[in-house]
Amino acid sequence: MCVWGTGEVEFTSLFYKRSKGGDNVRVDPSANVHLHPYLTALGDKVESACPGRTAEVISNAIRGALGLSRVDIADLTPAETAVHMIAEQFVVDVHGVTDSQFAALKQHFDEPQIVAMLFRMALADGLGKLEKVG
Amino acid sequence: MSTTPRLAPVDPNARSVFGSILAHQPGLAAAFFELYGEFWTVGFSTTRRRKPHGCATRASPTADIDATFASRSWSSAT
Repeated sequence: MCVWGTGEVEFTSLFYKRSKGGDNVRVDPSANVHLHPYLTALGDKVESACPGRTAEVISNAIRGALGLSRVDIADLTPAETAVHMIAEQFVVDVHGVTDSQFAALKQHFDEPQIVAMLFRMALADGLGKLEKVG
Repeated sequence: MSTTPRLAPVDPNARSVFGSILAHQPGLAAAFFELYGEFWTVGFSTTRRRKPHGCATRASPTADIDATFASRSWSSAT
């Protein structure tokens, strides 16, 4: 599975809860396996709906902002730069995404493309933070 | 921060909310709600967590798991 373009992501930490005594207790051993195909299907659809290299640009921006491993993407186009800026802001403080940043995005992409890219940001942000603290 | 919706809904008569925005990507929305539905209906989140105010619930395929966790003090777990 490649939810966000940079490799396998483990979801096991989704299925542990910290008990009152401080121990990590597994909630359900089958949960990881059970949800895996659903998460894979969603990730694949999101990735394929993102135009051009934007799926990779988003993953790169978010993983960079979280201090996770990332790959370099050379020579961002103005459209990709607009995506990169919003993705970084999305992960640091989503309330800080400005109207001008969003206007720049709309100059280059239509609404279905933007919906797909925002979904990609949500997945990469959530799973990246999970990886960071898990 | 924006105070107005930034994306228009597919249906011009609809309000610009999460669901109407997702209609721009129906296949993607379907995949999202399949995952969301599975997560919330097959017991990976306990009944006690889902319905903390004691709402009546029907028996689920994971009732035994729910029962196990209902006997613990999960409401204060972090």
